[in-house]
Amino acid sequence: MSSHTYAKKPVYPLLGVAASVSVLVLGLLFAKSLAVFYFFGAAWLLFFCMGYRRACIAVLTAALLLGAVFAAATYLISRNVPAALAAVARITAVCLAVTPGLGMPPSYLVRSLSALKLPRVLVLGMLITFSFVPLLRKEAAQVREAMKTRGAGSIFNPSIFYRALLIPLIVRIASISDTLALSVETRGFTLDNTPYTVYKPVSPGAKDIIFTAGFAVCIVLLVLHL
Amino acid sequence: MENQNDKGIDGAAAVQQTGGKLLVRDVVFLAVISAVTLLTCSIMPLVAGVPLFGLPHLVTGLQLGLFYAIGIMKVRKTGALLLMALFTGVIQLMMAPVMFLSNIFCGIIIEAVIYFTSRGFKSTLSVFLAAALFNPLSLPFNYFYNLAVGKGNLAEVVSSQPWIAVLMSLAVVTVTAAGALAGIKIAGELKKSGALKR
Repeated sequence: MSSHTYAKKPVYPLLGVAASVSVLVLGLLFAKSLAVFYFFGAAWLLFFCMGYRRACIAVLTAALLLGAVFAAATYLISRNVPAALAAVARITAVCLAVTPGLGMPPSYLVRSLSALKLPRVLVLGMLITFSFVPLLRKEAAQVREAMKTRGAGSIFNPSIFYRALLIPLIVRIASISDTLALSVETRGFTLDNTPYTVYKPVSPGAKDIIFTAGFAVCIVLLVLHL
Repeated sequence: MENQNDKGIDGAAAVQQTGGKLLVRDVVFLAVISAVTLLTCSIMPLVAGVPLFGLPHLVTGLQLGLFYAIGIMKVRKTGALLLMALFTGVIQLMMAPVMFLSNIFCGIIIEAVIYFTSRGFKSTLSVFLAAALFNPLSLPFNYFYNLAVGKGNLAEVVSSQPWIAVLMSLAVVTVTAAGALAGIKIAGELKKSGALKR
């Protein structure tokens, strides 16, 4: 999850989640069939055409790399080409299923969930969880940089890892969390059931209908091929 | 887990102060901890394809135990564990739907058990139990899911070599418990220093 991979106009978030789950479940169910690779190709193209270009390229790189590793490892263990291909199919399914999540800005998901009147506890929590992952990477890098500056030693030493990396990182996380909570509270955000409106509500449009139809065709073709 | 009674009183006092109701700052902290847990568990997809029962649970056990224990030690209110499970589960939904279902299932069961046995996370022991049991409890769920979905490899491995499944399960329990203990220790230290406010 990084802002570099966000799509400008992603599909309706819940459709994206449904597509992710479908790709993963179908990929695992039909891993032993070669037809699943055509399905993956079609789904990847569909995501690419729907604006997830950067996410698609990132996913393709990861799938090729991991697929090669898994294929080699499975073949070395089992000496069985179909088993190696099934392993590639499984890891490709996992990689491809991540695409809508990589390309979806957290605020877009939150707006659609708010429009659906989900409990505010969930909406707030999900927004923070989604947004915090890229921030955390920066924080971890800063703590490691500070370790190097102090000459703290290798993080593979358990006591150095604990004292110089883990504790400072958790302290930093607690501090960010307090600041964030204060910021949310001072803006009048509450968890009670007071009515609220949604800024730029997200609802399904023509693009989402095209996406759903295209994805349904891919699924039908995969199932019919078997 | 020294000074268990003291910490237990602290936990009870913290809950009493806020009436046991989740506040905005609690939700924010739990969400942040969930993000940390999720990021540190990102190694899991790399081993998910290996047909060895419990391997994904083993590589994520330490992180889950550690961060969930820290989360509950700060927010000692009923629902804290379930919320963390839900926040991590929603993101996992797009990578592994079974993890989402497993998280919700385990979260509800553990919250119910802790609530009916010790009326919430008032004592350190209840925090430890919740953090240490969450990951191992998803092992049977994972087994039945693999049987149901037809991802036969894993179920076959368990049936043909049950001793491996038993050893892996023991390893998962041990690693998660170690993580939970470490989390409680860290949270205790940070509370003493004032870095982790109630």
